[in-house]
Amino acid sequence: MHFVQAFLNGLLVGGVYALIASGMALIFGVMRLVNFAHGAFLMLGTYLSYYGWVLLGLNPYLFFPLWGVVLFVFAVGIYRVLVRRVMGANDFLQILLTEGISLALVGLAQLVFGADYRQINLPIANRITGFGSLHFSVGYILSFAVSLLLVIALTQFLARTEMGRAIRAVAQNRTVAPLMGIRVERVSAITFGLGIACAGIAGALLLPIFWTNPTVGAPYTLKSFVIVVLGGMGSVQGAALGGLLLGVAEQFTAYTWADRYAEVVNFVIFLLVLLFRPQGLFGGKA
Amino acid sequence: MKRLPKWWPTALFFAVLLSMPLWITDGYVLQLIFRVVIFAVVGMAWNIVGGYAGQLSLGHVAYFGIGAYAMTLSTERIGWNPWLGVILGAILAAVGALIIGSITFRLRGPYFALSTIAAAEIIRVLVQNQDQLTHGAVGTNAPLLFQAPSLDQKFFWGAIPLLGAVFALSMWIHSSRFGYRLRAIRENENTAMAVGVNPSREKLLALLPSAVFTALAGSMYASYFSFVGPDTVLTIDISVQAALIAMLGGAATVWGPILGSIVLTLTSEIFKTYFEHTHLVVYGALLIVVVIFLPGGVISLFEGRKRLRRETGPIGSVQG
Amino acid sequence: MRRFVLALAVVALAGCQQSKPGRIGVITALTGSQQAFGQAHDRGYEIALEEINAAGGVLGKPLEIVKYDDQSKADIAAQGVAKLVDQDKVSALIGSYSSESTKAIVPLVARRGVPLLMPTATADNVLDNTQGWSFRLCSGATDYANSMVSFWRDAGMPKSVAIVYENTNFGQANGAAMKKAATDAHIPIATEESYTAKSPSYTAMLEKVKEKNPDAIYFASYLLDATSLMHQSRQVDLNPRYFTAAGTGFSTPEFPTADKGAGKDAEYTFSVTQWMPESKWPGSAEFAKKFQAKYGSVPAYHAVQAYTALKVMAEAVKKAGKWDATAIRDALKAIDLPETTFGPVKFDARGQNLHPVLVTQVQKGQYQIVHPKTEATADPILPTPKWSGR
Repeated sequence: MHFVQAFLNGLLVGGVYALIASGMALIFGVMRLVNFAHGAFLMLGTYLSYYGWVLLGLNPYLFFPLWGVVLFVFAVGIYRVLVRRVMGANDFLQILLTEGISLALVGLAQLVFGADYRQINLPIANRITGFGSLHFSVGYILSFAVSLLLVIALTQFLARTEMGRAIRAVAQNRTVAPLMGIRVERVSAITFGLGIACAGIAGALLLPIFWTNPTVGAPYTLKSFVIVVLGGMGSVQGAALGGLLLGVAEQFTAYTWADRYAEVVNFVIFLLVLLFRPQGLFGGKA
Repeated sequence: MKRLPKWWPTALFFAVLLSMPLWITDGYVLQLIFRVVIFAVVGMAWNIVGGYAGQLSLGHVAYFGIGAYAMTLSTERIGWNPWLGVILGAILAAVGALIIGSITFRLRGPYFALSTIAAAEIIRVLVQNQDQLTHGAVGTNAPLLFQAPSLDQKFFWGAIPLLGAVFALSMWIHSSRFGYRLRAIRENENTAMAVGVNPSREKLLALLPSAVFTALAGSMYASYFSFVGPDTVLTIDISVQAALIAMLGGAATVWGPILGSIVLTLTSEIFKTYFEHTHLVVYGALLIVVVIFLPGGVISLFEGRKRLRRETGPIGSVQG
Repeated sequence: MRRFVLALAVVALAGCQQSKPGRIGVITALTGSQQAFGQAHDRGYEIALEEINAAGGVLGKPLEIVKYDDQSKADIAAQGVAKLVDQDKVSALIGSYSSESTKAIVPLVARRGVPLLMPTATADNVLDNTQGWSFRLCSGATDYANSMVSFWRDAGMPKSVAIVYENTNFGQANGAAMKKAATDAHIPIATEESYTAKSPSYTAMLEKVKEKNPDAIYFASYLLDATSLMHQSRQVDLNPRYFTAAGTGFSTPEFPTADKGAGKDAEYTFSVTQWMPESKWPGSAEFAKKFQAKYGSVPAYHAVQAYTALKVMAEAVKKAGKWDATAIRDALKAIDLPETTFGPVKFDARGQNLHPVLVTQVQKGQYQIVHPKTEATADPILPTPKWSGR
């Protein structure tokens, strides 16, 4: 029975991972941008959510769209001012720039919010529910549900809307897309905004079951990369499934081996996939 | 500039450096410059693989940590002289380079970078959790490579030959056929293969000295500050710093990493003293500014030639 | 450029010629991951400084301290020693926050011949290689474990203990200390689980612990994980007779609160602690009140450790009669202060202060001291009620 419990817990945590990684998949797949600042934006999402609740009483599970919009606008701004300049430049510069943005955001957060940890107490998040001998935290279920809804919404957006098609076109072939009348710059800006919004909303959803502080985002940048590679570069569905898979793998490792090695599982999976199936589990093209 | 021997700036630089312990009496300043020298070594070592060969490794701290831990643990557990431990560290780093390189060099572009991060993190987590062997997260004191008194001076003078050696190696690589082959790989790996360069072999050949020098720097650093711990000598910050120092200073140049280390290490310390809580923001802003306005690195301020921009041109290509 | 160099030279020369007034150097984590604790230190130092100077200063002059931020990094802490001793010419040092940073500076102060007083580092190996120059004010991990075992002797030895700790220096040090203490007391160890701190979910690990059916659990965690662990212990329905902990997260003022801690899930947990505002040591309540008035929050023991450390160091300087590092070191060796806010202060041959460790239990949202009996404010509530019965 415990394996079932571990599996289900893994899925629940994996849901949030899926959302974060979908954002990364979008940015990486469409813009070929190595975004080292992904975690920092997640952190901003948690703080928006935190102050929204503490100062204005806005429930994260209801107001996450608001935080998503705020971060979308912020991200588009960052794109136009900074990121745009390294599009097409070599990886060095992209990594340097996004790392710089990450450091600056974390540093600002430390200055403005202070380095101490914050958490909120949402009564509904602490409730426990279950059936049989299985038990779950309601907070986790809510975060999982919202994350998955958003990922599905995102895939639908990409599949059915005109902007979605434009985004996919740019992802497939950046040089040819303009010939189809697609304004690549605009698409890039919107993609960046969307990807960051995903990270930010994931942060907002993490807050009730977790906590925040300026450095909370750091492990998630790397995790997102792992998931994107696992799922298949650029594929949002792949990233979503990859997120769930990683969540389960971590919980299984914690259960069967030791919690402290769950971290290593991230990296080992990463290397294995890169070496033996570089197109990812669900990626099409090699 | 008159026709002085071409090597006079280099000679002057090293002469001044060597003389510093004689006229700098403030231990703190000497220690600061020691750090600049050590990180210049780390930057130059990284530069061989990252700058010249264009392989953006973000896992070089693995070698730094191997050097530091090999020296410390062999002295503590086997009773060796710490200098033997340093040599052991260099050997283990070379072995590590062969293993890590053979796995990671199969990948290109950002995938390579990420895989190097993964490799270094695996090492860090293992060291942190095998606390019976390594003292885990608590860390332990590292042995002294020199005897008191005048430790500040002795360590300083010990670091300079290391700098000299990696400097000489960089100079040789810069103008040799090996360097030419590395640059070819950097520009376009497929084209390089077409003209008869064997990328797998060359990249590994570049990584070996890079890893060894990084390990030597790690040993010396740990010994001077008397401490090893996973959060001190195996942290990803050092990997990022190695890359930053080389890139900020000017990748694929001999003096670039030295300039980069001077700028980065000193500004970090100055920011800490005068800006206190804001130094992280300033650091990040500095990175952003350099990327946008000085993509060729600080050295491009001195050289000013457009040629430099081509030197640090597109690196690798993202394979789908 | 030339003017700049000239100015630098003038400043350097001026610095050398002037005889500096005696100063104490302080290294702590003012920024970085441990900033919250470094801030607690900082505030403790400030209050102590005020009080010392209000009472006339040290050796006839106001006391000055020079701070250095180690950014929560051990090698930067090491650099701080050089700056404070070589440049700022301090005669004594206090610091740092974490065991790692502290361990890094211990050999360096010995090299420079400057006494060091450690306020908070709990790992046991910080007192190795001190060569007589370093002293520790707080209790170490071994004292924590021994105190908990001694409490169990009074309240009823558990039939087995599960040790659950984060895989950082704090966690590993305390995990190892309890393993040894339990083994020496012939308590079987049900299991040892080490976890990666600040993870979202520990349920898999807690399920494993539950399977071993431990009679007691000993946690070594910071506040966030303490909160997660208690919530998730309820989720997996883990019901040992004792929930115990090695202080820190489980003994902070925020832990029993609902909005910043585990709220009701913190009830009945036992923890070691170095100090409480309610403790009977002179000045405890006053310190807590002053701290609350000035900073708006209840002080955790890190703040009072810093406060006391500065006061002890000031006393040592007074005893030495001069701002000489060796004399101050000797004064510290011989110091005997039975009535400080942090309890009696007297260092043994190793440099360790024999500080009594308290064991508390959260009862009705408040900490009560339950051990040793001489300091107790309430009786322990045992056995811990099952989650379903709360």
